[in-house]
Amino acid sequence: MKRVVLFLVLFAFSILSVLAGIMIGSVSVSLKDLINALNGSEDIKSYIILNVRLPRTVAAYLGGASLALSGLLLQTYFRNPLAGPYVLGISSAASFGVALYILSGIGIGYYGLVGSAMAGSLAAIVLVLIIASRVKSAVTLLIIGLMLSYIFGALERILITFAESEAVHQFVLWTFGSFSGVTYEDLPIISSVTLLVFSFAIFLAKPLNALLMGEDYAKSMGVNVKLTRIVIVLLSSISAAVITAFAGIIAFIGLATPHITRLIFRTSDHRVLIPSVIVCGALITVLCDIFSRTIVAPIELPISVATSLIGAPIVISLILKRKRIS
Amino acid sequence: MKLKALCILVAVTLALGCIQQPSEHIPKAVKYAKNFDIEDHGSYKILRVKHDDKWYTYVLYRDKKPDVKGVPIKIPVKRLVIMSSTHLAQLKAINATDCIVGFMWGGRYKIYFEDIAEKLENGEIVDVGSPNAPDYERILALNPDLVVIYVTEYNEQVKRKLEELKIPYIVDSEWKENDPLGRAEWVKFFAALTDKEEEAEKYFSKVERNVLEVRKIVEGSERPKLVWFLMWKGVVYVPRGESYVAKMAEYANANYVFSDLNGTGSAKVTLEDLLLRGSDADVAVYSSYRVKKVSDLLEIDSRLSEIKAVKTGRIYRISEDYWQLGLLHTDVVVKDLAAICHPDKFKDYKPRFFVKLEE
Repeated sequence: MKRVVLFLVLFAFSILSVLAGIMIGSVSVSLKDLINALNGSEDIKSYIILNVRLPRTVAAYLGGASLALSGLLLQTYFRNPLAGPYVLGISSAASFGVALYILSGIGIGYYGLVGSAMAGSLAAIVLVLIIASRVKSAVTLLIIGLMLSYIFGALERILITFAESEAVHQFVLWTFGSFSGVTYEDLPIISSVTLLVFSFAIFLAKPLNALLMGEDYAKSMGVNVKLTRIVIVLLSSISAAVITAFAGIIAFIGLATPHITRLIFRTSDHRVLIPSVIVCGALITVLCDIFSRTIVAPIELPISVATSLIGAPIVISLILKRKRIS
Repeated sequence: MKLKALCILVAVTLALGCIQQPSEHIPKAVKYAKNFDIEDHGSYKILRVKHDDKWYTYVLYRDKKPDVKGVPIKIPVKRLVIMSSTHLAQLKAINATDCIVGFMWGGRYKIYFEDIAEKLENGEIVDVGSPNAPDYERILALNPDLVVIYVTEYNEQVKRKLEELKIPYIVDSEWKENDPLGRAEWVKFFAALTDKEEEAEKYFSKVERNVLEVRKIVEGSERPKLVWFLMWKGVVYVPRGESYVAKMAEYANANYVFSDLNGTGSAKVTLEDLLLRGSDADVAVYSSYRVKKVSDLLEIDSRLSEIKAVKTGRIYRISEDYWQLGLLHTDVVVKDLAAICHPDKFKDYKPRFFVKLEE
């Protein structure tokens, strides 16, 4: 019961954070401005609210939630607290795709970037899935995933070596993640994919709880380990891939949010953790997005700076606090 | 007694230290540049370069090294390795490219100086790799008199490596100048090394005259709002208020919309600030040549259509050769900027280094 209240409070905060994300920024926005904008007023303020702030805030909400969920699934499956959405090579494959697109001079358009990142990630997902259906243990898969990252990283560096310097510059900029590029038109894709992943993830709660004790134990409990493995890999990779395609590489959220959630809710029951990690991820990411674009406005910090600077102290303080109680 | 001796020793060491590396120096022989200075002593010259907030002293001598503190360099330099195309442009300005034997190029961009491109092709000038990781073996094999480098936070290792290999080098801080005329004045730096002072004076006074003339033409007229930016996946890069671009806008009598951003170089700003300040910008410059059409720009971000200059078609990009020939012809760049900001004052003039985006 206490957990339900806690969850509802966090959920309310996360919704408030979205409202804050829309109201706070270089131009101050009153509730009246917001209503004006929603009623189709055509000044630049309304344009900024609807077309700049709203998409990026909603994207940060869904993106943070997806990355956090992806991190939770993989941490539990690998029984490794250091696992995160990118351990299976998704981010390096995505950035290899982008490198191929930018550095070979095919183009520079936004959708080209999104598409090439997506294509790279999908290639990695297919590879990882083939491997996942063949290997026997989680550790083997983890190691193979890491090796894939190195291979994609190496290919990317080959491209960088031979590319024109201005293109390299643009590529490097891509690797600093930001939700700023997300437009209104992107929201349907992002939200449908992430919501689909969330709803599938709910069904994973039971097998994940069994997996906490290891694959052999889960097997003895009647869990189809292979199927679970494939579903986990698929869901976590797809959510990471979609977010990376639209926002680039966002550090820390996927790794830290599961820890923060476990420490706040003091449980490892995935029936609680799955919805909570989604809400926590969303809340933290929206706050970090607001922080990164307002703290030294008009200058914008990379969001990974904010996620790491805010997230790491939270994790440390929660861990120390828990130690003191026990 | 011992203490007294020690005190004197410390004092002398401190004094010597000060002579070797004067931390305070105000350039006298140059008019606009802030990061170098030259003193001519007849048989030798003292060249000072500011780097990392410190002044470094080089003694340029012809036959016999004078007994003066500083890094000795024998001039005129006959075998020079350069690091950047901006060095190329400045050597070109004073007709001194003959002494280039190596160039940290790496083949990663096109060279717009045809004769140099040809020399690189046939090996008269050796490509010694990229500026971040040059091929030190090739540089050593070239046995250069001097390597000209620029040092940023990304390539400091090159300076250290050259030091370690005892290859004579000199730091060029031209890119730190925030006045186009200050940048152009750096030809005097290369002139001191190659004994081409006369050419440098001729070149520089021409550039200065032309820039001041442009300023006179546009002075007093209404100042259009100018926005200069680069955007990439939602992230916007704009020059800061004390940058080279901001200074150019001043010469061109334009009101640069981010002039209140303190500092030099560029800053990453939010898209909403760009739209807010750019929504009534009369002229826009997109500082990349990878965008050719307005539709290319809108493909990068559809929301850029809210900028007034994009709506009215007064959106320009830099030309492909901007970073090379543009630096050689600073005066033309300033004139171009003035012309796109005040088209009525420059009727029938076609800008050379700014290209209007195609519809």
